[in-house]
Amino acid sequence: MLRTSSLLEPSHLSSALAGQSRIKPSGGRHGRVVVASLMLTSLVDAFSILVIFLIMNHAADQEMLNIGDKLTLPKASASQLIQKGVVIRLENGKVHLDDAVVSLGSLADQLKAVSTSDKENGLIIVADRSLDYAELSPIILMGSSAGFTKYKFAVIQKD
Amino acid sequence: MHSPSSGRGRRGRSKGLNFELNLVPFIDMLSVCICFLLVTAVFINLGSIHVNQAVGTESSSASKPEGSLTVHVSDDGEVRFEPKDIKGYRKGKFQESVGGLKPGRVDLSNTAKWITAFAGQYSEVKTVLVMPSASARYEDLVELMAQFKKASMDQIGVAPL
Repeated sequence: MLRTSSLLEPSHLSSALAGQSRIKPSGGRHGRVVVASLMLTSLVDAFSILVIFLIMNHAADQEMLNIGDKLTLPKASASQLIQKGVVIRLENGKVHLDDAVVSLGSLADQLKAVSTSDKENGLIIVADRSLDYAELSPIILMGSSAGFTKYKFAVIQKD
Repeated sequence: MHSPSSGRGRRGRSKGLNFELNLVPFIDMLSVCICFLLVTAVFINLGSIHVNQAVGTESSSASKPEGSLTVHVSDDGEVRFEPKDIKGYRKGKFQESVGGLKPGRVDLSNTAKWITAFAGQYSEVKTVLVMPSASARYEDLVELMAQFKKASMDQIGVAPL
């Protein structure tokens, strides 16, 4: 009986390993050849979906913030995407200006020394949610006296 | 039986076409891509509440023709709303304050209702000045500002102590 075979028939699409996986390559004419084939198509499908998902969630233009281990940011419903700016982090009573610890006394001078273009981007304030406003107020005051007009309070976006 | 993929035809016949794709380099590339994306992925969605602070040389927000809203947050969590220079606003139309929750927390669900109602009535008012007390919680202030943003009152200022 003549068998018609389609090129797309799955049995014809053997894997890349098919040619190399002969168990008995030097077998005789009637020697049995065992072909171990892997279905790689489903694996490639899964990988592709994973890559697309990760690329979609990859925010390239987001500012990378160093949030301390002991900091819990407040949650807010109507927040914007965090962008560039001079980062001030309040952690364990210490003030970090762009990841360097600074004293509150020298903060005003250091903020004044920031270039005008950076001042236009604004001041990003990273602070714990349980903080009192009394600890935050001097930062805002020093920022204002240094010429900052934009403040960005870092939050975790709520749905 | 002659299979086009087998490449082992009968003796004397031409060989079949081997049309299989070598997927191994493709899988390698995808694996590297996944590793890179997983390492660089940020799983916490960070956002920010933008506040425009007026400096000394700028005109005060209260002088704007559409008026403004001053919000006082007291130590016990009470939020007091003070509309200023708003056209058509009559005193007593809106409740002037929202009581706090224990211990010293702002009743954010009631403030949200107040802000939504106010913004619905006076949509032209965009300027808000938040005046917190020293022991006002940062978390409550941020959520309060977010509620104003949500109600399209996006010109927010925070008064230092």
